[in-house]
Amino acid sequence: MAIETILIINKSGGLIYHRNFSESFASKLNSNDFLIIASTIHSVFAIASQVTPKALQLTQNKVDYTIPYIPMVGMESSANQNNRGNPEMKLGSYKGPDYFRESFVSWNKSGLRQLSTDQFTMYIYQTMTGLKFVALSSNVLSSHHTTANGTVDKTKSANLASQVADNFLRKIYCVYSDYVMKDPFYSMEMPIKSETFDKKVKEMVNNLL
Amino acid sequence: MNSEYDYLFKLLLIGNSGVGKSCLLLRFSDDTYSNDYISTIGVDFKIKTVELDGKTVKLQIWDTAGQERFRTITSSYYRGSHGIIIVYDITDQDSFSGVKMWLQEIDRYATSTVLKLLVGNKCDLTDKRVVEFDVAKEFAEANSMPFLETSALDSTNVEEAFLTMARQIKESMAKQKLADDSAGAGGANGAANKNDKGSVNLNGQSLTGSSSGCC
Repeated sequence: MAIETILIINKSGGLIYHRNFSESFASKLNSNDFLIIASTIHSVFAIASQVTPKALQLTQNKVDYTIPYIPMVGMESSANQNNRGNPEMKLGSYKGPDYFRESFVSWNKSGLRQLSTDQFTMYIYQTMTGLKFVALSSNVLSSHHTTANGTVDKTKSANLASQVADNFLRKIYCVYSDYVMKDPFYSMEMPIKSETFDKKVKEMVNNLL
Repeated sequence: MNSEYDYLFKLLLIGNSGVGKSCLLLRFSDDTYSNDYISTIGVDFKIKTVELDGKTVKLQIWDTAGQERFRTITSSYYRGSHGIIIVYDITDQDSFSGVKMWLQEIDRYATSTVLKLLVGNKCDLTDKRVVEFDVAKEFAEANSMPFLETSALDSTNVEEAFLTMARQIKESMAKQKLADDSAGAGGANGAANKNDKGSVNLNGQSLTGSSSGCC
């Protein structure tokens, strides 16, 4: 999954962080365009959550919001870590080299989680406080997942990509909690200016490639 | 990275359909005017960058649709906005009566500290005026909000309307920050601070009990 852009949108629909990772369509847009994109995503997200309750009434079976844990998404592989020999610069929490190790329940129960087009795929991870982490990926969901009996299962590969994205964006959220929320000079709901945060996000996106 | 600006303010434009919200915004952001009436669908965004006290501030203005049928997710527009501009048309009594309804909406959806501004648009149409300046001024004062008459056509007061708002937001944010800081510092010498409702005293009582002052 090649990530083109990471956006963080605050609970009122304002863009507080954006970062492009490649010279593509995204780098042709200026910061105002990104502000408009972010607020539009926020609005569409709100509209989507209005549609959902009706749709859920139609399906009788209970929806499981649990997202399985996928190990080491966006983290350096252990082989590389040993070669570097620089333990204090490693990412991860005090619990271990990864930020979390269990499956988690998505808070994004009625909003938009994934948007697929012919050009890109967008993944949205929403936190309990309404913060939205958005990843724009240049990968189009056509990479077929071949099952044991040789048939192509499109839904399964789409599902896996979305789970990887959720795991990855949740980790960005962990990094956000560590480097933005603990920054005494950060004013709430305002643009993130922490260079360490930016560096860590970049590192994680590079690890993903 | 978004290092090119320090603050992002969310401003909201509300008011009855056809009072000229979009025109006002077009005048402010692009300094142009269009006589065509195109109804806003859902919400429209315009961004203007201004300098305030040496800080780069981006004003993101959410121009909402006045028409009832487009107002499905209103609450998410009001949420977290720093300032709300209520627009009415000085040639249309209904739009002025509607201001009351808009104020109720603000009470319902927006935070109580949000800054409000009343704007009477189309003030160039003096011969068609039905809402007198004094009446509106009085109404605005009763609801403790500033009032301006603007014209998107000849750009009277348009810049002022938005910049007044931006300056007020900046000030109230600075005040808020100051209050937070003093509440934090006040914790050091015990009960010195009376308005530290939200802050938690992490320092507690000094164990030796002999030291005085905070340093």
